[in-house]
Amino acid sequence: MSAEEERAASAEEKRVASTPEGRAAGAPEAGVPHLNAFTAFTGRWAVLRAALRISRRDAWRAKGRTALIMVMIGLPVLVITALITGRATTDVTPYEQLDSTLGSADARLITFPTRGRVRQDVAARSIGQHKASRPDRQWTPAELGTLLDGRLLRYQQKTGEVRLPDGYDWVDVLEVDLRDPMTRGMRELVEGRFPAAPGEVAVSPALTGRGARIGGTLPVTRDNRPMRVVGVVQNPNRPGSAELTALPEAVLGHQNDGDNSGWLADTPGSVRRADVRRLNQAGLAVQSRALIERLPDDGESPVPAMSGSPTRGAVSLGVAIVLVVMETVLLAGPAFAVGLRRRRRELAVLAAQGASGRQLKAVVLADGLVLGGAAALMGMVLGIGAGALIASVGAPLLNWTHGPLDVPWPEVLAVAALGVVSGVTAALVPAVQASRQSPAQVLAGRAAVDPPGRAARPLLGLVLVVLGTGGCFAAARHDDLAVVISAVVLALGLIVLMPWLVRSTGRLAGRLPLPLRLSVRDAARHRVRTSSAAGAVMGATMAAVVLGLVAASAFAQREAERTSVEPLGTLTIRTWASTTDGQWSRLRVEAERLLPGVPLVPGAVAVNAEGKEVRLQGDRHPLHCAGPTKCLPPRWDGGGILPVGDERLLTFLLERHDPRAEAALARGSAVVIGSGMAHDGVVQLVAESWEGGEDERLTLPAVVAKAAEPAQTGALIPASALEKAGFTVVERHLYAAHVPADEARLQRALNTVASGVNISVERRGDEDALTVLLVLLGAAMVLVLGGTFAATGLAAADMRQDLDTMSAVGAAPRVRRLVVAAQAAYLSGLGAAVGLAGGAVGGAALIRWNWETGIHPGGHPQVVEIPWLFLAGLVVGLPLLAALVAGTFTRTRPARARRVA
Amino acid sequence: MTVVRLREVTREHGQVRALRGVSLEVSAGELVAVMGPSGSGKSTLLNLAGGLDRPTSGNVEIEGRDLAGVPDLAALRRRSVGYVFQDLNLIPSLTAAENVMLPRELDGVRSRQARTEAMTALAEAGAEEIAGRFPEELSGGQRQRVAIARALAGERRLLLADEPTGALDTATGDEILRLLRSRCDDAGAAVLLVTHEPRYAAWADRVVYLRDGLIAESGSVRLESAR
Amino acid sequence: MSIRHGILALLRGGPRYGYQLRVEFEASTAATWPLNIGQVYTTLSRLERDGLVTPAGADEQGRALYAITETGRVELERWFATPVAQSDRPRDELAIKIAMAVAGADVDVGAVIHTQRTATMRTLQALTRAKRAADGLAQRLVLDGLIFKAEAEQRWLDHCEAVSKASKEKNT
Repeated sequence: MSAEEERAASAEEKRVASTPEGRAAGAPEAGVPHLNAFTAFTGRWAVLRAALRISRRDAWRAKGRTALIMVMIGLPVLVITALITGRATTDVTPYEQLDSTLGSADARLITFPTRGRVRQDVAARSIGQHKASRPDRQWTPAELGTLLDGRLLRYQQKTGEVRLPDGYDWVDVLEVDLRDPMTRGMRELVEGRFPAAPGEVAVSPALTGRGARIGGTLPVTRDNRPMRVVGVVQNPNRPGSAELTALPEAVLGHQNDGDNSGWLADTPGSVRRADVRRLNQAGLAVQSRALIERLPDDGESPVPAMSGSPTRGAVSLGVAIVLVVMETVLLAGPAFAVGLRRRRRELAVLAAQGASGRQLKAVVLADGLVLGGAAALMGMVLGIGAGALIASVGAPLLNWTHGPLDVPWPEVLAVAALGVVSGVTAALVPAVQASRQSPAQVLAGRAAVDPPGRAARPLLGLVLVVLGTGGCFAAARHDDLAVVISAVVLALGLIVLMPWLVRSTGRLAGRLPLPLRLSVRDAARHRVRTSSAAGAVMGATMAAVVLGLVAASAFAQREAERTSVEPLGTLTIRTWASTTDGQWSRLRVEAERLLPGVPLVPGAVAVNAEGKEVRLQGDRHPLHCAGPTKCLPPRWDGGGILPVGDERLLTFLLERHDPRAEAALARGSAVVIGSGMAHDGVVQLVAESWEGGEDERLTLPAVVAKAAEPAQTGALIPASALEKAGFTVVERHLYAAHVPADEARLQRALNTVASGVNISVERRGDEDALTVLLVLLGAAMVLVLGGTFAATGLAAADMRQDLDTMSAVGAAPRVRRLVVAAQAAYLSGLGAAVGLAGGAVGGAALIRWNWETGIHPGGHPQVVEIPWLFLAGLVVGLPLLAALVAGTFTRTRPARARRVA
Repeated sequence: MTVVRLREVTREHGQVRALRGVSLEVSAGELVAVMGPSGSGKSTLLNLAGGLDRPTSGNVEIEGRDLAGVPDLAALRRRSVGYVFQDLNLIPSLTAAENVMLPRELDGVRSRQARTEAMTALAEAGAEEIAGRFPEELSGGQRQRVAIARALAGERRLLLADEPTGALDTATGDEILRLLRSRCDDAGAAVLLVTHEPRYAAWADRVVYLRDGLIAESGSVRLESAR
Repeated sequence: MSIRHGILALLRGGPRYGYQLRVEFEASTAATWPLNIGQVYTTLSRLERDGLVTPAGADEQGRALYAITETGRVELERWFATPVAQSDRPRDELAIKIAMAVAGADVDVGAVIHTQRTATMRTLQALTRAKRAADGLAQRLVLDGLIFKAEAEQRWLDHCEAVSKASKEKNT
């Protein structure tokens, strides 16, 4: 120590004039043992500050890399923040709804047909009432005045029918005098004025879009009562709803139904809990402004909890977080790794100046902190903006509810923190590498690219893979969440295994032509970068394969289970037997007009002796059977509602002439199509009334006809047989082999002629499979290409010297492209292939679980549908696309030779 | 007073023996130049002398402490040793002053104090007017001045320079040697300078020739200056 | 001076006659120093007078041979061990010395070069010290000129060392 003291003393002599305070404060650091807690803290802070300063400036210098990393980390933050902000904004609390329901009133009274005691929660969202047998007399304002002081204003709310240019439609109806100051805030006046007379209505913006105009008339109810449109008003919480507003009882009759009608009350004081109890006792439900204002935020989480117990919800959330962070880390990892390589010399200089391994780690981690922090902040801000935008654009367009901008800060901040964690985690592996590098070797230029040998131990990865695979199949019989967790373990195992896979496949490169060999070797040498990117591709591919397999199989299963008596693509127009004959013939004419050139085949419905319409179904419990499964096919569910008709309908259903069946039908026999519904030449039917009452059973002679398609099952019942059994038969159905472009529009148009028209179209069960698979492929494409390009771009930058040398010795520009394209193909191909294997395991396990828990356990068809084209697109198509795009956008002009210091 | 002492130091990189029993001392106020053909072990010697590397056998003492007994060489480097390399000395993203502050900050000194010390060191190196500039805005000579200021910031008195003039023209190289010389003479720094250029080695009090990992016998003391 | 030592160095490889010495000398110095035969004999007689060489009979063709004496060997050792002074030397003496050292199989070329280099370095140090003390620009530049010259010599010595070492390694 004497040497140190001496040195310090001599230094003191020399520097005392220049920095006296510096010397004095510097003394504790010189004598290490004297470090107290404070200097230790400020010391650590100084280090962190120096590290952050370097990271910040470096981030600014390498703008491309910074932007890339920020997008990778910021995008998930943005999307999730936008979703939860949008959801919270869309999710309207009773407090936020106060103005649109109460206006400026102090309370809102809801009446009921009877006056039993009412039970309600504070916001009156759920209301119960003791049953009374007969409706009571209606409330009068005078009667209410005895219960509650203050001014009352009548309001009514219900739905009603309105005739728009394209047909009848149901809309919300609010009846209240909006000119009254008590309603201030309930509806915003967009245009015109509020209704002031019984013949006047105001419409919501959604209705003006459907043809209602100010100054025009609008026929309401089936009576087509004309109302004059005088204004456009909008519900602040529901800007997209289709709604009519009018004075009380202008559109609706008097309402006393307990749903949403009653009086608004402007009271001298606020309405307290005791008042509410008193009114409840009298048979009224109450919404009190004062009480709702004081309602604690019930903390409805905007994060959609998965079904089931809170634990399951938490576990699911945890799995989701792990997956998002994992994918983010894998995507951003290569960028950090390459940044480290660029800065290796810089870090060695730092080490020479006395930075310890931990401090070097801190510098690289600071990179993650700076980039992750900035990305998370930007993602958060933009996400809140995007969420607000989505909510305000979506509300009028998609009829969402809409409240004031509502940012669920705890969740939003948690998501942002997750972004920061992702950044730091992505920087972790490079940071550890940085702390391990030997500065002497780096300064001598001897440092190896990635230290060889370390990744050669595939043990941990193999263990995880075995655990994950075993877990998948063990859990498949019990629990889907456990399957998902096992699949995540499997994915983690494959990621851990990836460096080993990269190394192993890199050895095979020797036989490839030069450009491919060069890029595969390079990829294998930069194991961290390559395996991270390949891992990202693997994760995306695996998820897509799992979901694709499960979705395809689920759709295939649905199609396999579909049964219908009508062939595919059949449009059925139905109305009730109660429709008059005149309406029916008008309806037929209208249908022919709306569907020109489409042959319409009529069908009938049966009415029983009591005049009630019945539906005909196969008997689930045939008299001659001991149990339901013994003589019925396992998948038979009664065959649906059986059609009634003549030989025209028979030909339509069978899609061919079947003279034998036609003859049988004419004889009064039922024609059983395709299934084993018939036994011993008879079919047993049940006729059930729609309005309840005793079922009637009947047995008809039957012949069996071959079905036109496998899913077809059921029977055609001849009218004559029903009439013989005492039913009346009226023609009320139409069948057509036609899929209309707009079903809702057709329904509205037909509803104009007669109410209660219902149309349906028989579709394949897997009709949406293609859409779902395309969406999956698209999502996978974004991730796969993103990950591949990040790594490939960084590789291209890294290899620029090699590529320049190649150009200098006469390689064609094509070779440069080939090298980069091959790099992209290699790492995305490797990731995709491994992802396919992992996804196949996870998918198979989930499909297995679906079998176990189907609607018909045991007797369920076990369908596995392998979407070959989708898988090929995922595993072959995307890597090829990545290679193609990477090759196309490679710079082919070599950089001018620079002096290499 | 001996600042750094190497005793019978050997260093092997795998099969290659970079140093084969080298003994060397540098005292305060002394400038020692190490010459020798490439591959003779000059840089290895420098790395060992600063604790950037550990010897295979033999021992290294800095200010009387045997490095074999120092667990945290990084801390020792922060407090006792300054390195100057041929180029790429400075962190491109930090200004000259921030570069000089760096080892002090790494050592936990508060920013304001580190900055004061850095400005002093820069002034002593004749580079105070470029304190706010980034390395890419500096000439080669200015960069080396900043690097030397950094190496001697705070209370460090051992400066290890590996070809600090390698990227400079002869006039600028002379300037750098003049600065190093003055740091020895005025501030009592001990400087170990690796160079292959005799004109710069001639600034040293002592010139040591390394050949095949050995100090050429008879060379080490004979050039003791008349000083 | 240096012809004496040159001839001594050649004789160390064995007895030689006058003409042979001339040819070998010119070959060793790459004919940068042409000798006439008279100079060779004059030098040989002086060497004989000083007792450094001695007549060694004649070969089969009757040419008189000379051999190096023990005194001659000592003198030669001394010469190789003495650096050539920067100030008072014909520059070529250094060249001859190195050339002879390389040609002579049992001379440690490295040691010779190192000795010389140490001396040159001392000169360089002296010049540098003078330069640090110098006030005038002209004086400094003159000193710089001398420094560059000395440095050039140093570099040449380094080069000699590297090349001779490489060729020695190749031969063994």
